[in-house]
Amino acid sequence: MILSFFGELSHDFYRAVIEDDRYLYLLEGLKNTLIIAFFAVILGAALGTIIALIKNNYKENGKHKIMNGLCNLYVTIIRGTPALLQLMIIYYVIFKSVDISMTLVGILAFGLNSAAYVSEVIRAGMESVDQGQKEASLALGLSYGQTVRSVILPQAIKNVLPALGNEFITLLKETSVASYIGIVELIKASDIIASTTYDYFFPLIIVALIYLVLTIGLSRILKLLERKWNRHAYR
Amino acid sequence: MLTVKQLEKSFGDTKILKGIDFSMEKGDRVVIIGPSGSGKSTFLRCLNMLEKPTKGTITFEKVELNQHNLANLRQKIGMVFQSFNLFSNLTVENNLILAPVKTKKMTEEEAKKKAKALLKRINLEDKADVYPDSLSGGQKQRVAIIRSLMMEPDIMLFDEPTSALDPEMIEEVLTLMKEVAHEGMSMIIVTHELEFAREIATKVIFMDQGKIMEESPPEELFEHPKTERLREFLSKIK
Ligand SMILES: Nc1ncnc2c1ncn2[C@@H]1O[C@H](COP(=O)(O)OP(=O)(O)OP(=O)(O)O)[C@@H](O)[C@H]1O
Ligand SMILES: [Mg+2]
Repeated sequence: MILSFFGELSHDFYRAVIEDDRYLYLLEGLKNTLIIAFFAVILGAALGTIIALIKNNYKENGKHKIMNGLCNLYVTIIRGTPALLQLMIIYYVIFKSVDISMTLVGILAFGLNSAAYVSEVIRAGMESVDQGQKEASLALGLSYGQTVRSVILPQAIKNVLPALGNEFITLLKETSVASYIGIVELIKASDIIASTTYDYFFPLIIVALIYLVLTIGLSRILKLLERKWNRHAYR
Repeated sequence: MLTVKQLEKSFGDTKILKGIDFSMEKGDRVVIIGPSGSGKSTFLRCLNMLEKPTKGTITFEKVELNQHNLANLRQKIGMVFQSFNLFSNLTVENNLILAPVKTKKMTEEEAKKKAKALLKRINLEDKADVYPDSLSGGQKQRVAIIRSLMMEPDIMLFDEPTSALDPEMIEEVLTLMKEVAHEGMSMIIVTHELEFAREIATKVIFMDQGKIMEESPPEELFEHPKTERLREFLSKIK
């Protein structure tokens, strides 16, 4: 009885992973999930920093009013609509008749989405930097731009590094909605396997385990980095 | 060298500075005293436009301060703050060389050489590569003073430079300030250290409620206060 239960399990596992090299789908999915999340977080951090700089410059010096307005609009729209909808608009509307790699669409969509959230994080980080240091820099005759580059931004980024790490973890999970437009990330991979074997159990469990290993592993690494950073920097 | 005419500053509806006229010559050392909230810091911060004056003019070496020449003039007006305000993301050496290098006043090499000499002067040459966090308050303030000196300013503003210090560290900072004074630096100093004021000031100003109430050489101001307010203030602070 028990033996036949395990026998069945191992048979299901074999069918889900090994038969016809189905694990290759999982590897492909893992690869795409990691690629999209990794490059999206970089794009998001870069664009988010630019948005934060524009908004900060407007707040501090009243400069670039129109750009600031556009940034506000962008952040409001992105934060006010679902990521899936943004992905669909980019794929089905903007790149409708363009031959473009699906992975690139995913990176763009999630990067643009992430930028809105990251910009708020960095902006808050800039505002939390000691005002006195900003004044000291200005009083020495540095321009506001030089002050931001040399004094404010380095401290702001150090302060928000943990939040950026969390953003990467969030993105890892969020990329799963990319399966909707057919990008073979982890969820889509399990879906492909299950639709040939008519068994969802192992494909889903395996993908869940992969996500858990990734997110738990990453947050461990981030904690270690953070501790190391705090010990060495500024001391 | 510095002339202030009818300076006014309001925060919202509250007028903090109510028409200040002030002038000083090169080599003067002006000490400003006055009760808390009288506008001493606000006045000092208006002089390099960390606060934007609501009314009035500030003329420094015959040039009237405005938004366009501000960064240039600030390079000649050093400022030392109560809370030191060293850049916590930079080592002591990089704190010192940042401004002269970024403003192209010196090459990095020249700046490093000067930083080394100044650090040696305050006996902190072994601290060049540490971050400000690991310095004592007195060390921080002395580094802040030489950071200002790095730019070779024509005048230095001090806003209560010893008020945030433990008593045993006040002396080392005052000593450095006296040295700088004896080298002929023009200074404006807000402080409660009356002994120090008596020793180095060429002129003492008593501010109250956003106005200059009295202005005389130290002996006269301390020995023969003209207003009741100053008499009261002096008796409290002693
Ligand atoms: N940024 C600001 N916004 C609003 N009010 C301010 C601001 N800065 C200063 N004030 C007010 O202006 C008044 C004068 O402040 P200021 O700091 O110039 O006084 P001070 O003479 O330096 O006092 P202290 O001896 O306590 O340093 C105070 O009532 C203060 O609350
Ligand atoms: Mg003050």
